[in-house]
Amino acid sequence: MREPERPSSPVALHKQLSAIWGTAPGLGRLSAVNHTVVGRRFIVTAIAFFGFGGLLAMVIRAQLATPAGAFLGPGVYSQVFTVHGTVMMFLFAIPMLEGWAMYLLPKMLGARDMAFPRLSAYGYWCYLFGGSLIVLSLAFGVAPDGGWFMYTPLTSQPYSPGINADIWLLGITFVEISAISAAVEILVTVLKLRSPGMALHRMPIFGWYMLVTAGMILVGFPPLILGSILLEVERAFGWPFFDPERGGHPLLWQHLFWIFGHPEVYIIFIPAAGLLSTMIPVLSRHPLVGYAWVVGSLVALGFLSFGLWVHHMFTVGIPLVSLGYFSAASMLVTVPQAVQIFSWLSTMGSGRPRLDTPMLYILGFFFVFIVGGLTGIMVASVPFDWQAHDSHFIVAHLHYVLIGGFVFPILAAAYFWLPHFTGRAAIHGLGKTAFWLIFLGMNATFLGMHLTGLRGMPRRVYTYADGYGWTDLNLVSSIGGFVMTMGFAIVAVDLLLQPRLGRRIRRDPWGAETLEWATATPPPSYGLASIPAIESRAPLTGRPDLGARIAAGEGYLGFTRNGWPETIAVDLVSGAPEQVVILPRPTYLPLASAAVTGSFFLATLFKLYWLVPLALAATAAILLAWTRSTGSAKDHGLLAVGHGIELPPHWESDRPPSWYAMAFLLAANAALFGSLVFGHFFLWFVSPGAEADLVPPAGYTLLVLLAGGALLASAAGRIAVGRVRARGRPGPWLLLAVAGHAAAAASGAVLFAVMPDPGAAAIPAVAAALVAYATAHAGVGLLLATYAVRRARMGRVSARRTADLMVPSLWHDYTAATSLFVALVLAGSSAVLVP
Amino acid sequence: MTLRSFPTLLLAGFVVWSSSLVVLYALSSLGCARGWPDDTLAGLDLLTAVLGAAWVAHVALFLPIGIALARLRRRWTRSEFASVAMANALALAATIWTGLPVLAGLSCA
Repeated sequence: MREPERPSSPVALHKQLSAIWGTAPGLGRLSAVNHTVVGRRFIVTAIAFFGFGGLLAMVIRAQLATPAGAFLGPGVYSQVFTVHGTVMMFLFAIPMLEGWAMYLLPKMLGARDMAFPRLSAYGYWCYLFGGSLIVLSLAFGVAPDGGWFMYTPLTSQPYSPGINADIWLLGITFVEISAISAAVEILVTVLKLRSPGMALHRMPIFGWYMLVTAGMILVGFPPLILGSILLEVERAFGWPFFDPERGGHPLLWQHLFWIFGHPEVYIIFIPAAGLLSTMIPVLSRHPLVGYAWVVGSLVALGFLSFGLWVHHMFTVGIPLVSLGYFSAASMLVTVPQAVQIFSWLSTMGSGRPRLDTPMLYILGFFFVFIVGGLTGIMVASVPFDWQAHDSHFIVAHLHYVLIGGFVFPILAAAYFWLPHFTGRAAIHGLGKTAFWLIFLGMNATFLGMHLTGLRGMPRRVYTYADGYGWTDLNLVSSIGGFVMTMGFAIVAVDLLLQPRLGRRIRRDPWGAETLEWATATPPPSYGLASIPAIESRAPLTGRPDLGARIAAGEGYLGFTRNGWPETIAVDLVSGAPEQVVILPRPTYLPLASAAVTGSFFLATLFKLYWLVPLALAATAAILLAWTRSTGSAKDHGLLAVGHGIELPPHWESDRPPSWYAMAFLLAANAALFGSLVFGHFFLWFVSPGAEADLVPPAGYTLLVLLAGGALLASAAGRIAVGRVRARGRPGPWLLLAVAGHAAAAASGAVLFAVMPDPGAAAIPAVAAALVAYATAHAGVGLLLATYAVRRARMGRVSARRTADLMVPSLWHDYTAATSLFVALVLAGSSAVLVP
Repeated sequence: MTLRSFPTLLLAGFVVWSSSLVVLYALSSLGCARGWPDDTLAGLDLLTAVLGAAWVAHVALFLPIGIALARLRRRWTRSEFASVAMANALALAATIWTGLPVLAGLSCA
């Protein structure tokens, strides 16, 4: 197809692009899907939650400032420290990193938006609604009170009969939708939506950090989501997964929680380290030393961080030989960390660092984080951990790690990129004053806490008696806490004043090398007016006019076409241009979808179970409504992108971004399924009733039908794709896929009904959960297969346009594999595992 | 083998390490529950023998990875090769280090 006429000037191009990519004012803002807008919203909302969590920390320190504190009673104190931890981990740290990734990544990579802008917006609304539910619960006195790790049996129904624990389980699961959706789209964006020529080894280092982080979220969060579902089902329906009196085990919860919980620390730290690896070379005026080594160590960190989860469970009675592996792995993780730290120090040592405000916070990071890392090595040692476990030593350690590893880097990043957000310079006097208050206050708060811990002060106690040597140290901690808060208050004032009072700055005030500084500041809605070809890791080095040339439309897609928001997708390794991705326009659907999804969680929370199927159906319907504007009703052929290159639109490519998204979503799903299978075998091991007959005689036929139906759907889905590619029409194969899933879903439902009572013991409960999992997947498969039939009938499918069949086909394959596995596990468990 | 194998080789070593950790932990739990330390095999207690075999098997898996890397050394840029070599070297060290407790004679207590 011929290249569209180019606009007459950069201003004309700006106006045309703004009309396509911009968000309407007023209530129209609620329809925003743009990465700059949604990224900023994530960041601002996370700051608000951080402020709330910080206020709770002040309440905690007021209570513990003196012995026999009477500020709070034990019940309220439990709610306060639980919500403090929950807010900081789930509502501040993770969403903050999501916000930074959404704001920066597309601009750094040379894309005009994230791969799935509506998913970004949907994730944001889920985060806001779920987070608000948790925070508001405190106002009503029903906040979670079982600690941020919600250990059973304390959080089981008999010991937490109110809705406090339910609010945590459902609220956090609601929020986690945003984490999983962010992970999927970060992965697809980094792997596919880069500038032409940006091979993986030329990618900005922040892209590598976010790639690893997103991969970790994808595998790390599902075990927690599964654990939350199982605990909620136990609380609501009495299925005893964690109840030892009926064959369950509290340690199953601990395993599921910490398989998430330990990588979570790294999921928080790694993006912050990515910001450091981006800032330090710029502020030191020297390229990052050991880029390739840092990439290698990141991969190591991503994997090793999963091998440490048991170091939170050293005291629960796991055999010593097993503890040895996890102690070794816990110490080993310092090696890739050290590679990064020495890379940063070498970069600073090789360059000419300037002691500006961001660098001050970076130096604060070095001091605080390294102290946290060293105490981490101490608690990685089993004998030491036995002494320090559940004491204030651990509180000190985790705050040094998290404040050092996340808060200081984020503050450095805030001062570094604030000019990009606002187009104005920060008021550095305030930032420096705030640094010293935060740095000194932080150390005053937590340094002495190591000692109170070593002197035996346990965590989570609401008061203590005088005479143990804890009194003075606690008073110092409380004073330090308030000093630190003053520092954060000054940062807040600075952030509020800067957009009005800061002096205007030129583009790229730091002399940075990455593409985000090639945009105007503050950035326009479309980010880059045209997409540059990339030949090195530092595209701005030696090309000071690149920003102006991009704005003049000299790169790819320096024009508009059909009112489409367009960007380029590349080969995931080499960066060769591959397809034109046409992104969605602003829409209220993400907001409406999050509200409808929220109705499911609220119905479950308030035990309105009759409403749950309706809420689920409404959620499915509204999510399917997203597809009304996707794809095309006709073939377009190749589209010109400039410089003589022509590419197909994404709906006519072999692997559109949605295919990768489904593949990554299924990877997360597989992590959840793997956790459930782990739970099954774990309980078989520890349960005294493990030899119970799980499948009644008639059930074996139903198992065969369940797996057989899913296999049929998988085969039919694949044949349909091949047939459409060869002949343009799917023939009867799509209907066969529908029939296969229908048979599987019906067989699963009947099997579920005839299985032994899942409330009687843990093993039947987990077996029923496996059948429910397979049945639910067949149900979703039925929906997707029906959707494919509808799309084919609407003319949205052709020999070139097969995405509407390929993406559901992945689901069919996954469902077939897991259904077969469920059938084999249930049929074979007795034979293999019963002594 | 081209640059297309870059992601696979970047992850290969740590996939082996992950497998080694899971297998060693699972076998330790199974062996301790079934009393393997009380039985003997080839002069070793059964638990140590099984764990040792699993550990050595995982370390051996680095041989094909090393061969693939040696073949690619001249085809890739220095930067591409360094990332992959670094990740796999760390993974090999991690697999050896994490399995060392097998030799320490730690009990099931």
